[in-house]
Amino acid sequence: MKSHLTSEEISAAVAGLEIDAPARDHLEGCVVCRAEAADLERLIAIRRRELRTEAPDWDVQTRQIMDRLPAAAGKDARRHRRWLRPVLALAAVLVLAVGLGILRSGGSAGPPAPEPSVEDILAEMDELLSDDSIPGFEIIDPWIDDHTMDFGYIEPTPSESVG
Amino acid sequence: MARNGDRDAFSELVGRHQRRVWMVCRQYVGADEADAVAQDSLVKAYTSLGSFDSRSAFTTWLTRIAINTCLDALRRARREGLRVIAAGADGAVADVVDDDIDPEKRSIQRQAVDRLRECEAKLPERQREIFRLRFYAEMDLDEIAAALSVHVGTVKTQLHRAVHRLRRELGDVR
Ligand SMILES: [Zn+2]
Repeated sequence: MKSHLTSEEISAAVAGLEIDAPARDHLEGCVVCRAEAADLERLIAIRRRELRTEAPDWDVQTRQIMDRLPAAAGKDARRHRRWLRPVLALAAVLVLAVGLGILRSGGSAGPPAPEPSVEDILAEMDELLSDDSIPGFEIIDPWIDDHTMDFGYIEPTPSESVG
Repeated sequence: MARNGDRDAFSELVGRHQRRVWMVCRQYVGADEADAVAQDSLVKAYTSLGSFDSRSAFTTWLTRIAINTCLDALRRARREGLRVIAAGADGAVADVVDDDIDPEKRSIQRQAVDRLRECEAKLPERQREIFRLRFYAEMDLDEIAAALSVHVGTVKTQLHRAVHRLRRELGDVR
């Protein structure tokens, strides 16, 4: 049977890291090594309980968070609309240009339909944008917008970046 | 999706994750600030939900937001010249030592926990961070690696060093 674990092995066991099979078997059967590992584990458990006593009232915290949500979402929506409108205006002009091109090249057999004006399309877009429930505006991450990834920040992984 | 539906679903998410978020924040900012920073983190998560990639774990994504919010709060406090209370070094702590032991041992245990807090505060920053996320926020090694954007091998090495150093410095605490 393996002799007592080295101090390094005890530390690895406390940290929850893999130790080799003989060391693991020894630890299971040895009161001395187990007690040594348990010393720090016990203190950590007490410290964790101490920290938990500082926790806020969870129901109050939930209410306070929920109370803050509409304002936060509204701010983002307004910010989003600032750049979204010119983009939509450009898109509307392109749609018109393509539509006129098709009509002039004789692509339509029936009588020509009345052409929607850029203003009509933008008015429709504004109406859509005034509805906070439309999907899309929430894809903008105001937080990434507001902060440069300076020292100390965790770079978002590519799969988590805004896109 | 109806706005109310979003809110109800998010309220449920808050209920499920607020303890972890608070405990993570508590490891970076003092007890007085942890609640406010945890709330900021969850509000940010709500406004950033669209950027969440469902292929990654929601808890990891949320933990990253919480950690960045804490670092942001700490930087802002430093910029504004505010005193930054080292997390874990706050004065008063609740007396939660084991009560099934005699008074003398209780007192020894109390002192040992105080020494743990002191030694922990002296750990190199990365070791301290990983130690606290592992044992107090109860995150597993892969979660810590993902939340800190480091390799899991780094987490293991740093955690082992932290535990070993604490055990050496604390000595016999029985
Ligand atoms: Zn042994």
